[in-house]
Amino acid sequence: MRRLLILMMGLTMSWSIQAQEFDYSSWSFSYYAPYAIQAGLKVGKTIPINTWTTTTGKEQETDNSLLIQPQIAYFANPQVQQNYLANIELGYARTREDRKFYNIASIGLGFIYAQQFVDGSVAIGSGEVSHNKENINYFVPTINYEWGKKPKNKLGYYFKGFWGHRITGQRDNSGFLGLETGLKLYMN
Amino acid sequence: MDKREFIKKGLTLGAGLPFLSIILQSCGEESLGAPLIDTNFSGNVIIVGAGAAGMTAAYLLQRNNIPYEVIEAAPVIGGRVKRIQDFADFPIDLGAEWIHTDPSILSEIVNDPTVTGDIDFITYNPQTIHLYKNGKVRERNWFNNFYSEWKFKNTTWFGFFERFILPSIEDNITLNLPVTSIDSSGSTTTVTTAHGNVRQADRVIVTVPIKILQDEVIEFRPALSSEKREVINNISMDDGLKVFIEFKERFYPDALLFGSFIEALTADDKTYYDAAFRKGSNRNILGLFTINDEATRYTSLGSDERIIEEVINELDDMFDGQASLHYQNHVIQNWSAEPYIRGSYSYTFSGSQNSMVDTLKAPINNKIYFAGEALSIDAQATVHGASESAYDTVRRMLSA
Ligand SMILES: Cc1cc2nc3c(=O)[nH]c(=O)nc-3n(C[C@H](O)[C@H](O)[C@H](O)COP(=O)(O)OP(=O)(O)OC[C@H]3O[C@@H](n4cnc5c(N)ncnc54)[C@H](O)[C@@H]3O)c2cc1C
Repeated sequence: MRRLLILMMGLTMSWSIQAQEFDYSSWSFSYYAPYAIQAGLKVGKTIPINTWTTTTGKEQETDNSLLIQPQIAYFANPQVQQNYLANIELGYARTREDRKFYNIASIGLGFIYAQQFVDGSVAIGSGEVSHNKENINYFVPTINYEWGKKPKNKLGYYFKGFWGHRITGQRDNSGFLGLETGLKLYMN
Repeated sequence: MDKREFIKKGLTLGAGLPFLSIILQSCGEESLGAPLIDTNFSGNVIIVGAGAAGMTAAYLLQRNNIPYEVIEAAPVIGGRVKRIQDFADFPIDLGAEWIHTDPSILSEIVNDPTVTGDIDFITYNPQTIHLYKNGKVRERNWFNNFYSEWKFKNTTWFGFFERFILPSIEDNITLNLPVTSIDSSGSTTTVTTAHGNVRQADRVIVTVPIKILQDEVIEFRPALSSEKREVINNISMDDGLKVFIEFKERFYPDALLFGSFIEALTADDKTYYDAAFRKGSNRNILGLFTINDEATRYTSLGSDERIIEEVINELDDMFDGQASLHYQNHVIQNWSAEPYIRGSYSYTFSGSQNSMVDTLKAPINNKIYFAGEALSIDAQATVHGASESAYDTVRRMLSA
């Protein structure tokens, strides 16, 4: 995981050319799709906690920021599982002034409250179907990579991939990965 | 088969393309149509075969007060719907086991609001999934996000028909009577059975498996048209086998799939699975479901002894000898060896499935009709597809 983070940071570095301070403070509203097929919605806030400028090789300035991103999400696999997620990410962001895009590599820790459909019954006369659900709690550590468009006015968009693990004492653990895409409403 | 048909077929086959099957199930509630049909028909009907299609057709004729008889070659009803009650502490489906669409389909099949009673089902969404590839078993639990269907909780497909369909039709079913010929050249149709019994009917509904038609177990007089025969011969129905094994200890996941992620998602020809999953049982019952070439690997061994030996050896290889260590008991259902089934279910259609099914469905002289799983476009190769085809056939027959 450490190696992957370093690799991601390296990638972001190689894309930057010149910088001016860019303020990441924003609200995000996204389509959240664990495993690419589950449908969900996520709302989050990006809060910069530290920003600094560095100069690379040809005197090109790069904005660097440390961010925290608290988020909440709902996603579901129809008739199989409903999930409520609270997540927080610590991210490192880079961008250069003459580039229209930014990159964020982050690590996250989330908590999922899941309702798993386990069984049910169907009334043969009416066709009415009822389901019984089981509650499962998961912790989800993730690593994330986000690529986004800086806003012209206040609205930008972004794409994000995440990869991690669902950890629970109630079941066997499993991988947790997926995609997210959405809009960011910048505050400054 | 064109692209649309291929995708549809993938969805229908359920276990294959499970990723898509999730989407199908979330939006797919079938409607079989009204059970009571406005008709001027006043003759009698013979139904050949007492599988899901034959029983559903009989049930509809019963409700429409049409005289009928069901003639079944085997000593039991059900066809590819079959159960064993005394192997575990829950009944096991030896044939169809999964409900490949929303469970409300059970109510659709019965289609009678005056009926009371519930059926319990489980959401079949295996939690621990392992993948066997290149000699290694790997944990891939996250696959469980790509596949989910339903199963009966404390009954079976057979139990469903036995409880809700059979009571009204069982007096009209004759078992152990293989039909050998159907002659529609006269004013009525003559159905002859292996014991030389001859019966007359105004209409005949043939619901035998496609393989039985391919093997020309039933002689049609006049012979089936060359178009119909070509269609019959261009639908594949290959081997099918299920094995259930009881072990003292559990060493296997909820589901064991084969190949890569993509192969596991798209192939539907072999799975080991915990047959007791969410059944509320403490017994360790492992199921093997296999069809097509994968099934031939076992069925070609020639005897049940050699099949179980092969299965245990294979499990030992995958799970470090645990299978033979904990083995207790097994049951094998070789569908290819059933004389009136001879395989699993219709699989590929070499040609346009829609037009092939239309050709096969077309009645002969308005006297002989066909029904069965292979004739369902939306749910081919399933039990509810067989029932849906019976609804369609009875409706067409009574409205003609
Ligand atoms: C291994 C296996 C697993 C399956 N799993 C599932 C599943 O999980 N879910 C699902 O929905 N479907 C499943 N299916 C498919 C499902 O079982 C079939 O689609 C369905 O039961 C077919 O019903 P049918 O009435 O068309 O044919 P059948 O059930 O085959 O009925 C035809 C009847 O005709 C009789 N017959 C044959 N020849 C003659 C003759 N000459 N005279 C008189 N009678 C004759 C036969 O004995 C049989 O009873 C599975 C099938 C197999 C083999």
